[in-house]
Amino acid sequence: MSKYSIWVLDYAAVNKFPQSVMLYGPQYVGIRNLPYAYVLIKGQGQVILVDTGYDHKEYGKYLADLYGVSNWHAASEVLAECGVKPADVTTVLITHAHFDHMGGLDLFPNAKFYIQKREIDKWVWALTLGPEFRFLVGAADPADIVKATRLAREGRMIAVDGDLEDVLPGIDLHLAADTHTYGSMYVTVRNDGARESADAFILAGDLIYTYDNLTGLDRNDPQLVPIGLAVGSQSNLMFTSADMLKAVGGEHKRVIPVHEDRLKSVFPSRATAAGLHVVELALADDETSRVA
Amino acid sequence: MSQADPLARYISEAQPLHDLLRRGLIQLSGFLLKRTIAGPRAIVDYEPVETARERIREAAEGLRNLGAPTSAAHHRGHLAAALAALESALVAALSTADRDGDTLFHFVQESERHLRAVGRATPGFETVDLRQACCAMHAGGAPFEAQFAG
Repeated sequence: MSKYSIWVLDYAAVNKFPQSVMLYGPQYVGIRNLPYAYVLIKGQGQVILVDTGYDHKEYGKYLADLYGVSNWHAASEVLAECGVKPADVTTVLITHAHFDHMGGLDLFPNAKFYIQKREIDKWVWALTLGPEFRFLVGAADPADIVKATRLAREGRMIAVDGDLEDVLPGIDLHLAADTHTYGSMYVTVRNDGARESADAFILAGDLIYTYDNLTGLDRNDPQLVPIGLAVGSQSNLMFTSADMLKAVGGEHKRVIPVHEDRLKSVFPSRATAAGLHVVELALADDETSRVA
Repeated sequence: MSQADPLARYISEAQPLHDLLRRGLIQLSGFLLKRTIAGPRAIVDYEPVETARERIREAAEGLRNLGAPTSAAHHRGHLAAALAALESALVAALSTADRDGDTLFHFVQESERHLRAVGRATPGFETVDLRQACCAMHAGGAPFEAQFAG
């Protein structure tokens, strides 16, 4: 009895992403394909997104030219693969304030947005530091700040202060402070509705980039390996990974790294005509499969 | 184009001013965002406003000395308009009369509009620095590691 359908939807990709950013440690170990994706959760009368993607104009085009982001497609096109329009989205849960997760704030005209208060507070604080600290404010898009301000003034941007159970029925928010960003957040969907869920998925944002962050590269000697990009600490990332794993009973595949290229082979999926992928994590009882 | 070219010199000198204005805008936007989500009774941290004041002062000084060839007059006009809007936004941020932030938000939006126009007008003046975006840290140009090289 699944309460929500959950799909991971590619909307672009970086074809040559350094593995050393995905896994802390060895350098010069090669590249991987890195999908850009957001998560669609549908059920209980709600249409929920985890992250917004970004809008491929102005800054987006600049990004694509500079960094080789390719095959971007608009949310209207991507969501249509699951029969959803941007205007249908009721709630957006923002895992962190980087452009590829928060750069589409104005694409969902009827949505209410949730982000950690710490993410905003520390982002603004870091911006007061000198340019020598600009690593701390990567992707600080002023347009996003202005858009977020507009939404906050309209009562559509909600700042969450720490963990929050049942932001929507069966959906919890968790602060992962001082990890990938200062106020990163992960989302737990308890798809059976039970407090001690036996059917939970965790949508991990960029707290992990790949399942290898949960297992290491040696399957015979597993270990947690943090991502290679953090303003916080590697320790915090590792303990967060441990918390996420514990919440799903140690079942790695239920901790979802949206940038993991192998999701499409772990879960039922299909390729779209645009060369993107629809990955179906769960299907609510009243929903039709979008990958069959 | 060489630095002897008036347009090339203009672009070279205008770029840091655009960056200062962008930083001022970020600070004032961030201040208003924090103030909005914190609610009317929260104690407000004015550090972003103080930082913005300094950036705006530097930008104003630079802009006074920035000569523009005819072909760059429109561009310079947007820079000046962005500065004027930011100066008004700064006044609003420090005012006790603008409790709801309406005036501050108006001028923040106005400044952003002009800076976006600047970004569209000239390649290299984009309003955002994406070079350290989390999922774009490999460059088509410099290798990832080079960004951390000393």
